[in-house]
Amino acid sequence: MIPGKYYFSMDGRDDRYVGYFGNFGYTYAKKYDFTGSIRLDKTNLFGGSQESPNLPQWSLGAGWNITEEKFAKDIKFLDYLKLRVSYGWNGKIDKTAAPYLYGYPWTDKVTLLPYSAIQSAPNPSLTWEKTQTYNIGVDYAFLKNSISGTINVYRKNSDDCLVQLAVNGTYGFQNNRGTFNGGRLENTGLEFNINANIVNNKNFKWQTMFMYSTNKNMARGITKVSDNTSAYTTMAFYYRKPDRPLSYLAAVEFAGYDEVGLPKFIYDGEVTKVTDIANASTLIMDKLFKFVGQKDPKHFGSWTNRFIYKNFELSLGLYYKFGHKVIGDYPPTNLFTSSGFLQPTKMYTFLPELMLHSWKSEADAATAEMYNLNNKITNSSHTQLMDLIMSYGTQNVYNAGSIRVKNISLSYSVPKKALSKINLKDLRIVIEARNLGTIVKFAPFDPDNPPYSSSTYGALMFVTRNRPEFSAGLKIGLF
Amino acid sequence: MKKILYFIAIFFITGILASCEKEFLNSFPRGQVIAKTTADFRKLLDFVDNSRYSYSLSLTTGYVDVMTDDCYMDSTKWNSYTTTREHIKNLYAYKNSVFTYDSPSFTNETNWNNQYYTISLCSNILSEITIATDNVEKQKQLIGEARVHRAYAYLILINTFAVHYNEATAATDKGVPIINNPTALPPLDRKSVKEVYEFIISELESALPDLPDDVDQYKHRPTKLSVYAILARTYLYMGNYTKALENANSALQIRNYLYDYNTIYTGTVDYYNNLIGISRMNDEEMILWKTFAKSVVYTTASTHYILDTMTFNQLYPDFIKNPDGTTVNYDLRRTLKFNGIASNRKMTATSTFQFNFYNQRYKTDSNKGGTTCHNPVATPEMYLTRAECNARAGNLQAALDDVNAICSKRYKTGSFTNLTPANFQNNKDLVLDRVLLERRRELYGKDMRLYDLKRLNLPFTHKLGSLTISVPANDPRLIWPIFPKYIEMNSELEQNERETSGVKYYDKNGVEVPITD
Repeated sequence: MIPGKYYFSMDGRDDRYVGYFGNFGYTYAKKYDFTGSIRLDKTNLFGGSQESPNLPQWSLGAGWNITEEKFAKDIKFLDYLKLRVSYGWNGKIDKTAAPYLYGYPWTDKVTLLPYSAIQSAPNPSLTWEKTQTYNIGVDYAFLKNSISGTINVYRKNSDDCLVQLAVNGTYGFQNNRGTFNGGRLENTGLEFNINANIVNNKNFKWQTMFMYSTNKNMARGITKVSDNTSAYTTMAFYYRKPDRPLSYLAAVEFAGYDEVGLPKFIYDGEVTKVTDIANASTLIMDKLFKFVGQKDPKHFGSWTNRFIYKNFELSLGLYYKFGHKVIGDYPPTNLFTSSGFLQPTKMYTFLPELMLHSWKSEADAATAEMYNLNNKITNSSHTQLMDLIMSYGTQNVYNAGSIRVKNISLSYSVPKKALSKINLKDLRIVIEARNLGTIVKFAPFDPDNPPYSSSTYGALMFVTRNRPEFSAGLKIGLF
Repeated sequence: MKKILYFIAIFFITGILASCEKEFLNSFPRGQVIAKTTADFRKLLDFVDNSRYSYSLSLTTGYVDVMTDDCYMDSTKWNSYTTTREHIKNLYAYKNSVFTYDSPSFTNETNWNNQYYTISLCSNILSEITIATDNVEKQKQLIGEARVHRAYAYLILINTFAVHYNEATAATDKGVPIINNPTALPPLDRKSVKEVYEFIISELESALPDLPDDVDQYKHRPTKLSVYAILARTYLYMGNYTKALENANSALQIRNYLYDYNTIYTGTVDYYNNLIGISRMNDEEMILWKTFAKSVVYTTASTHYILDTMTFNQLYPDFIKNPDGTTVNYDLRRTLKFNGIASNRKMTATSTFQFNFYNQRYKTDSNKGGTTCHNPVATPEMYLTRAECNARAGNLQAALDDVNAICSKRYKTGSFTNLTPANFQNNKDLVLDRVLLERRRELYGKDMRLYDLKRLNLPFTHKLGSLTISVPANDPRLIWPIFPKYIEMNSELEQNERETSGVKYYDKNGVEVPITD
């Protein structure tokens, strides 16, 4: 047995699915569409003997092509108008969760016995995540097809959502995590896009495409709630708060610095000093945190404009996102050693600006961006609270709204006449720039790529993700 | 007509497909071992290796004994216990607030979690193994093994996290949750101490008939021997000395090997080299292989098993100090188990004595990439359990025979004279004290001292720098508190109260020092 062979290879999986499906479509008098599909999926991922593998998935749809109706034919400017409705059910499974015992093979180095390390606890009650989708849509085109687009309104309700959660250590799960069917997720959304040919002359064309989406989601029916900082901040594997958006953001209300330059915060409506709290584990999380928004954008989409002048084409693509919040950069955690002094080794990724603007005297109270580093902190509760406030304090929550340039490209097509002489069908020169950054933003950094300099990984990611790309190309068509 | 034929054809094809489907789906996903046959469950129950994963069936506790007189910390050492080990520091000082460190990543307390991991895994194995019918005899043996691992985990839990077994109150004393179906996430209400002990005994008894008698080279696999040994310990802790004696006897009938330290330690080369060669595969004293908790003490158990000079010399007094500073040890455990003596056999300059035995003893295993961290159930404990039961029953000669058996193997040849009841004026209590002293010496560094302090109602003191911490017998703070985050997630899990305590602190002049927490 070669250790590592199983663990690292992906080709050993044999996930089996059986699906039966049928589709039908029927159009009556060009006006009315009926569509339907049904599939019955089974999988071995839940174990062959279980009841859970069966999931009938189906959808039903109807369309009404209004422009085919007599009354609509009289409306001159209208080229196409169709109303669609659909309803469906579908399911999702999680490959990492299974209702049986499985483990990874390995060898005991001392006894040389093969053994299996359990990776998941069986969960016989695990079932498909079921999603119910309602959709109403309109497809339209008017003014000789110069304006066209679609509008969709949907509602998606997911039931038995598969979530990975922290499990009480008393249940003895591997890494104290497990996948469960827990809670419901309600999604409502509106999407529309408009494509318009604003100018359509022989020599000059201007096309614009605007897309907009909005989504509102809410996690419901969560009966277990964790009351720890993670449930409010990173949310990794913890029971999230119910009746909140999936990506809710909570923060500690920051209240300036005290007379020795350590942060103050609002706890239960009262201004509290970090040093007032002798034991942070006694804090009640609901009184410490307040909900300040969500991390996913409420409104987002893109706007693309193409200008074509003779053989030149200029294209400009913009992305926009609004209505969400982001956590800014923060200093390294655990800056103080147990003896209470600053650890120089922690400073390797420290932001120089923060150090420069740290609290030095009471005159800095209003402007300081960092607590007083010239302090002796021996109580680890104080360190924890300061680390929490510096990262998840309201002073570090920023409006993440932005408009960014997705791409700009300029191309030139060599005229056909010139090409025919050298026997080429098509020749195009393109120069393009991508990821040019934000043109509108509210945070002092790029909200999509927060620097997070206190972690080496975050800092590296910041550098690599934030680079604009430029390219030039030549496209040759031979035949 | 044609149409009908088509329909019939389609109908049949679908039928054929549907009948294949069952076969197709019954194959389990590949790339992992799915437990179906006894061979698969064998592999699950051989999961004791700690070199790769953070959990295994072999992991037990760590730092339980910091709360005893077997550990001494100076203030530097004490201060080094921070963050996820901050509770060790507070437990050592017998503070009221123990889990003072809180961090999103600090989500587990190893002593509790390791035992419940074993319990959960064994419970899952027990509920799934019904499908492994390919070899009924093997299946029964594996069921027995899972029950033994699980019972051992409960025995550790009940002694660490609950008041000691007391026949009069055990039915109402808070024990620990008994979880047989972890995947259903049952409520975590604490069963009574009595219920937990009854569960341990019934599990061990039902496992007994299906297990082989003695260990082979795979010493992590439970046997009849390990069932007797664990039962002996269980009954001893319950104060049922008749049953404890019976089981210790049964264990010793199967295996009674004791190493003669004179052959391990020749005294001519440094002790370190002489220990190389013993592995968990061939340790003749071993009854059931277990280790300390991985995340607490991975490489070495010696980081906190430290004695100050005075306590060390009181505990192992059999040595002669030469004028040149070298010592001649009559009790070879002084040298073998502690680092107080350097490789040149001279006393080192350290004022403390660090327990170094098991780490060095299993050097062979660590050279192979295995763990150096061992805390097995072993034969000396059975001798001492038998001796204690005999002493309590008034069989003084029998009790001393077992002490003699151990000492004659642990002392330098010729330096130990066999003890007789006459040496103790035929006094039962004095003999018992001698047995218990030998127990403490021999079982030092196995995370079992706290349980003895609890069951024997012993008050004790240990020092923190110049501060003396004095713990009265049966103080509520002798019980480990349950990790608050577990209670936070399941409020039905009740905490061990430690607010009222008789712990006192004295400065070097013997003046009581008030401690706020």
